[in-house]
Amino acid sequence: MLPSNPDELSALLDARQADGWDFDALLSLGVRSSRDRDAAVIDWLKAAPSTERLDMACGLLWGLWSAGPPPEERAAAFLDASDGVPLDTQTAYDLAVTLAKLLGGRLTEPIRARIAARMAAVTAARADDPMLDSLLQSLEDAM
Amino acid sequence: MPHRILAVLAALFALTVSTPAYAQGFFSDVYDYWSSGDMGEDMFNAVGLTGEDVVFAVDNPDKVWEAVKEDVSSGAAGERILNTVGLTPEDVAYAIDNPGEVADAVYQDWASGDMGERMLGTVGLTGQDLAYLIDNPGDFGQGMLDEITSGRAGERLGQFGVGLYEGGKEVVTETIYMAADGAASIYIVTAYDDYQGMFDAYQPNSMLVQAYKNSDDPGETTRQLISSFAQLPGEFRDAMWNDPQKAGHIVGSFAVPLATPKALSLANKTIAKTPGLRVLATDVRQLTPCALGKCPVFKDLTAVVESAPKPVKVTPKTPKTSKKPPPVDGPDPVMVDQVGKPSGTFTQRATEVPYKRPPEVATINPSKPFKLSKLDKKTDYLWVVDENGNVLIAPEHQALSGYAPHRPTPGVVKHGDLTPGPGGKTRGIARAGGELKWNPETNQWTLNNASSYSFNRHDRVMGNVENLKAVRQLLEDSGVEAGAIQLKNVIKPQG
Repeated sequence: MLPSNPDELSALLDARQADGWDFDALLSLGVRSSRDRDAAVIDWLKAAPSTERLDMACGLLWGLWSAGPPPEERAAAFLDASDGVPLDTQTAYDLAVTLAKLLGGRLTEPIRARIAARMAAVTAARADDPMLDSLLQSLEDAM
Repeated sequence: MPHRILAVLAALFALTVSTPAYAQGFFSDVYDYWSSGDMGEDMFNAVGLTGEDVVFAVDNPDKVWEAVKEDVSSGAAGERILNTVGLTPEDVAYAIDNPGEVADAVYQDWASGDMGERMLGTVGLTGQDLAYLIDNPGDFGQGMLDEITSGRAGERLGQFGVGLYEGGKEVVTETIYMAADGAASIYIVTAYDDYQGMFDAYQPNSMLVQAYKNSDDPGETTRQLISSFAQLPGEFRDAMWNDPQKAGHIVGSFAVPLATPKALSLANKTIAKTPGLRVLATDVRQLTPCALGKCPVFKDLTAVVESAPKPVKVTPKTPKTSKKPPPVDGPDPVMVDQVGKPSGTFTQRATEVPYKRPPEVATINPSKPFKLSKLDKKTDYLWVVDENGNVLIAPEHQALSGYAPHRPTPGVVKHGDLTPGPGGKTRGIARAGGELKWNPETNQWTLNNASSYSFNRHDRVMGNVENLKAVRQLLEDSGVEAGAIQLKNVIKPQG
């Protein structure tokens, strides 16, 4: 379970990043934890944005949000934290899935528009990345 | 048949009782079982024979013997048997050259409790059964408490255990020798005083085959079998009260054969799908490969068919009785539906591609039975239920076999490997997934739903404990010990 104390949570994720981590394990950790830990996870990403951290954060947030999409302010915070993070094939897919999950919540039109714009930017890279194209195709088939 | 088997285990408990009331019921049960002919039918069915086959064999002993001879002399039978139990000819040669080491392995298997655990599973005892036995001591007579508190019960059980080990060991050892010899037909009956003598003067084939070989009277085989079983209840009853070690010996001799009727049935059904191939009587025991550290659970039995050389054909002619073979059971569709609908998962990892089946994976359904005792308690396993309702179980780490060396954690198996998508480019479709881990605190296996196939599904449906119950039911329908698995739902409720 993710600790409730933001500092402890941040330290735990720092340790995972340093020692090696498994996406499924992070996802499972998120599933087992209280959804309100998402704020601390997003803060941890925002503190030192990177491709690897975005990958890890997506795994945790998918799990945390498995019980339902987050409130709009959390969606906005994630958009802010992930903005400008360099994307590779994996994080582009992760981000696309996360954005799709956010769209399942109650959102105002400006936030929806931001998500749509980010989604368009992410998926634009698929033309030059067959692996990403394959992954996004599986996502589209599921939507 | 399960209640008959349960009666055998109940007899173990009856050892602690000074009054034989319960035991009389048990033997009455066994006698009825034998005298009704059900026991004989079950025996034949267990090895893939129908009543029609038996009638044909009795009426056509020459043809049967020719078929047996061809099966033996071609080596097909021996190879089939070895493949079935997961042994190679090299394993057998090693066992023959190193009988002491093999005996030690069998002893360790017994002493560690693994053999006992398999036997418990074999006789179909459930947690509920045990609870009932404990809660209803009156069923076992008034002397039980005295027997236990005085230590007499413990002493008798100890003697029984020694005999159990001896009986099981003899079956295992003889099976190794018989398999090495290419025996076509094996019936192992060790419940006789002169069994040791028979074993010492080892003959290539079992009593049944010997009867076929050496007797001019085609009815001799049947008579010998019936005579053998007719003597058994009396011998066992006497031994129960006077010689617990012998009683254990008898149970040990039969507990091993009882361990594999489902596996045999599957093997025979698989082989029967090959045109012209007919297994007359095969009885190979589970303990042999397990004692050698090679439990056959992950063997794909279709390999038996592929490796079987020239088939032996025996066509029933003018059957005098008809008994339909047991149907090939598939997973219960209601239960399969309750596990979950087939779904893909959002979890896809570029570094894990290609997704592909690992070398060690068990496919479990009612026609491919399974026992938890085949799992290593120190190993974590992944499970999924595929679209067809098969339960697939695989060790989570398989680096030693060179599997998936390119992954961030080399050799790690993912749920998607058990049900890979087209071309292995993605994790494919499954109904549910999770982990299976040994819990030393409860001494049980724990089945959880920690998998993207349970909480990160394309259909957005979240797994729950009812899904897990259905998975456990599918496993129980496939021979897994009822009540041996505790469930753990790791998914928080949606809100």
